[in-house]
Amino acid sequence: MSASESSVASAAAARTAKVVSCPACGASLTLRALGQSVMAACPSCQSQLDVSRADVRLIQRYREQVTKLRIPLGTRGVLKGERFEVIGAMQRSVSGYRWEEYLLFNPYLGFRWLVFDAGHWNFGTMLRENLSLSPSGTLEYGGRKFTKFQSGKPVVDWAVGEFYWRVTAGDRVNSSDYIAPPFMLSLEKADDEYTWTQLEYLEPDEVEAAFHVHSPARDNVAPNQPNPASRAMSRVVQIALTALVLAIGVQVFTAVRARSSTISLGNYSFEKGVAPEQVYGPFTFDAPFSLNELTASAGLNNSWVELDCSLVNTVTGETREFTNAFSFYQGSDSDGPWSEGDRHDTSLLPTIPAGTYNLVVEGASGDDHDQRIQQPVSLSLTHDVVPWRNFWLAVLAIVAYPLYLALRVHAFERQRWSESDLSPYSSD
Amino acid sequence: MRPGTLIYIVLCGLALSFLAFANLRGYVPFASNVAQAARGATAGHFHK
Repeated sequence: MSASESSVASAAAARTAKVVSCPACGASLTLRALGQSVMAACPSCQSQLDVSRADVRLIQRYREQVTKLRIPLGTRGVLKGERFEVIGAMQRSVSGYRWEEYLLFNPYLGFRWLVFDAGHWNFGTMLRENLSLSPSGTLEYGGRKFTKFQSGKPVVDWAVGEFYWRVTAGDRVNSSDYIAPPFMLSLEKADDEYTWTQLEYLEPDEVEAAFHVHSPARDNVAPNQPNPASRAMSRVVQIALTALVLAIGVQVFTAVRARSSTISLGNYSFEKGVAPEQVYGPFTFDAPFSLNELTASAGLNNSWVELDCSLVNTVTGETREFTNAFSFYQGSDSDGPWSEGDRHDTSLLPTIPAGTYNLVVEGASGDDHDQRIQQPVSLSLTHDVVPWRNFWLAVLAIVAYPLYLALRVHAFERQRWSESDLSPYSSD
Repeated sequence: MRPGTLIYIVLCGLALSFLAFANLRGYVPFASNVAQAARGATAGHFHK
């Protein structure tokens, strides 16, 4: 809102509407923003009248029906808790890209703008102050940092109704838009006059409810359209951080509480004359239910080991069968030395009830000569361990939705900035 | 509270419950090469 607008707006409340006659057709014409409007459209013949002069001079004939206004002049509605009346409308364009601007009037508040652009609506308020750009080309206003989005030279295609300045088709200004969704600051320069307007994005249903208009579907992302994924992200990020802290707490608590006691079982031997089935134990698992790790290791060299194991409860006879297998090969070729495999393997034995157990192992092995290996296989059992796998699965479940939202935020912003020549994503 | 947020809170609760339950019960998913056999000849053979 300009200073002049502010002063006349406050004075407007004390004034009353005035009825004048149209010099073109003689019909009565009610001026709503008396003293502020300089032109008006005749409701009968749609002629444009200069109402700043006492004799109400005719400016230009105009067929309002041709423009097919989305919101008819005189329509009243409540926006932002205040009642406004549509008193003027115009279409502007840049390089064939068109949008509509409706001038709203409230005798106590003055003028506001309602801008329609490809299914998007913005509520505009002119600013009294002249804003200054930072050296980096950004703007600070109202505690927000605005980034330049675009600039152009829009031209007025047509205008109907009342306006507080003389507007005619062909009027052209230099404009620059700076965004901090849901707000946008629009600078218009004409001659030596600088006008800043703050635009706030409105959801279409808000305008539809206020002015009973049909708003077509949005077919792109508006410069200052709020990012819906950002809003969802802001809601869940605190929850996610809390859940991650709790997950770390649970992991630490259960790890500290776990016994993690190592039981050395000895070696498995492949020597001739030793029975292939070898029994280790008995040993006791005292945790009510526990995860246990059996680690087998041997100094393999171009050979393999496979251990078929059975963990047998000495009281109930319940058995868990599992296989522990590993191999290690190495050599060299034209690319240099290479190796693959490991010299050890760890098997996980989950949810083992407390009790006394034996471990029965039957092994097989081989080297590159199809002979049994000579090295013994060392066996070690760790009772009641807490794995990281559960923790990472929980973390994955917690961060999956925020990660999905982050991708959506990025995609939305890319789409927003695809309309701009100043896109920070252009180098992606 | 939006349904999506509520569902996410429930999901976080389930993830934390899983972590606590699994760690306390000694459960870990995808523990391969482990099978629980019925009591039988193999178990009985080494049953002491």
